[in-house]
Amino acid sequence: MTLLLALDSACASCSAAVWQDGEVLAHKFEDMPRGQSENLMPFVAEVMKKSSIDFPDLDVLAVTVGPGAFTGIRICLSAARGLALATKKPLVGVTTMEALLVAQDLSNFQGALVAVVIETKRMDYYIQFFDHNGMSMGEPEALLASSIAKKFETLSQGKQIFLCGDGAERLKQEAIVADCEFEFGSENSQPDAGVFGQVAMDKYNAMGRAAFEIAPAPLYLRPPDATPPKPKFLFKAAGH
Amino acid sequence: MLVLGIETSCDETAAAVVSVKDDQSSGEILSNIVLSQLDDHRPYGGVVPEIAARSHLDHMDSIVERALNEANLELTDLDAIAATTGPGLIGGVMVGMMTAKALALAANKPFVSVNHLEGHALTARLSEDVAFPYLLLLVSGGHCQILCVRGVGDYELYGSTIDDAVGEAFDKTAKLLGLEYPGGPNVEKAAASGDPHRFKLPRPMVGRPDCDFSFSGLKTAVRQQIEKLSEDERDAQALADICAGFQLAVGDVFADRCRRAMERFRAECGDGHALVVGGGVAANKALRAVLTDAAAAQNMRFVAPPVKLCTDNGAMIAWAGLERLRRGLTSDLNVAAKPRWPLDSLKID
Repeated sequence: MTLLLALDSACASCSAAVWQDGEVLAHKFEDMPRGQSENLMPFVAEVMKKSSIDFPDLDVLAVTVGPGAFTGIRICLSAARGLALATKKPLVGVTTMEALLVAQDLSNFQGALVAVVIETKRMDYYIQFFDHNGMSMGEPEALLASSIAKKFETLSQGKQIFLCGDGAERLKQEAIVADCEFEFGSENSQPDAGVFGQVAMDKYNAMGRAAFEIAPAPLYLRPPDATPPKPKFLFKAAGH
Repeated sequence: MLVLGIETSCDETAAAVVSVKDDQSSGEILSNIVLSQLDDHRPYGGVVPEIAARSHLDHMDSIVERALNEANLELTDLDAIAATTGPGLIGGVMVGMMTAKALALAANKPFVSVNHLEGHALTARLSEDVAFPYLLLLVSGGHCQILCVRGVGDYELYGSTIDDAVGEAFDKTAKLLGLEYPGGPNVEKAAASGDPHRFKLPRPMVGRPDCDFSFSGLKTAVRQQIEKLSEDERDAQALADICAGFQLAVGDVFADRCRRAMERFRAECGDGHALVVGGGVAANKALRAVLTDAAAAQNMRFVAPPVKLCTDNGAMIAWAGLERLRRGLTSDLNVAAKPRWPLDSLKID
């Protein structure tokens, strides 16, 4: 028996869930564009209490690492890394792409190109491509609609394109591709600990505890916006 | 009583364990780990919030682990976990706050939300026996204020800057001179070999009846003095002289503003109390000397905590957390991080 605690605040929602093997014992999810740093730990406390689990009982922790909102990623990842430090339990990182994909039923989309699309609130999108079996066809990337349209043309080869994630609707308007049929995933457009816990459980079972002793790193996909300034009044002795 | 303190409000990732025995008023620092991000921010001439937040996340858990190891303690040994929840750069504050909330929940310990400024305000009581009330000059890169400290959570603002914080003025002056970030220590270093009287600089706010500060005019005056110099005149001596002149001007402003505040404080609280300085600018030795003299002139004891406790650190947060815990002031896990959070709004009912 494996007991797992999963948490997420990487996009525009907040969730926590306790899993026992393939089953959710307790689960809390809310859409939440703001206020995750206030709510995440009470969510965790609530699902732990509901499932009558104490922290020492857990076998493994799971958290989303991004891509998503920079602050949101840091909220759940710093919390999860703190929990891992306190409990000395392994911590499994799940990408938001994996978290969103596992929520989708792809059985009716044989041969389709699958794209998980996450809103960046800028011009671009976070996107990752998968085949109809959910096998990844590359790493998550930050791309503009024009680049994505080109990828659609080369990767889909006229097949169906299955879009999911909270950036899917905007992308459909902006990525103009001739002769392409778009299909949309179910409404689960936010990561949910009550769903992606399964991904973490599978990884943990497949790779073992030792693979997750080192805390996962955040996946931002963008460097910080900062450019070094050019000083105006330089003195001869300055900087020495 | 043992408290872990976490600090991430600017560009230091810090954690510390502080203890106090029931019969003692001042505390003992069991560990105090500070990881400075200076090298990360130096190319940008100042702290870049997103770079700071990323670095805090990368190092926070290992810094906490080191603080516990150095104190030879486990989380279970602690009585509470305290963290800065503001004011400061919110992305960084969140990292420390979430780490502390997680540690507190998993270890079943109280969480104590600490105002970063209260950390500075109470530090003197960690290192020395200082009783309430006292007068506090809080001077850093982000803050410049004088407060009457009546007790934990009980602060009355006497005066504050109406524009730049004093540390900000140091950093901006350094930038004008082409000195590397962090400007404050580099200005102090250059000033040591300078003639403070060569360049005439103003003494903003001196003589005013209130206890407020203003430094943006001083910075502008520095720029105007630089602009008068030809390229050939911009040598090492000129740089040193400007730094010395700037530092002297700040010292004169400190002396005058603190004199006003001490007069008011003595009228309200009586004699026999202390003038305490806190914040990163309190590391400046010339300014410490000015404050020593100013306090002596008012027959007030002058208390300046060790430099490593004046700049941002985890021990001051652990200590403020401990002072709160002793008074039963713990926090819920739904506390929000606050980018702005004035000390005089902390009043406990």
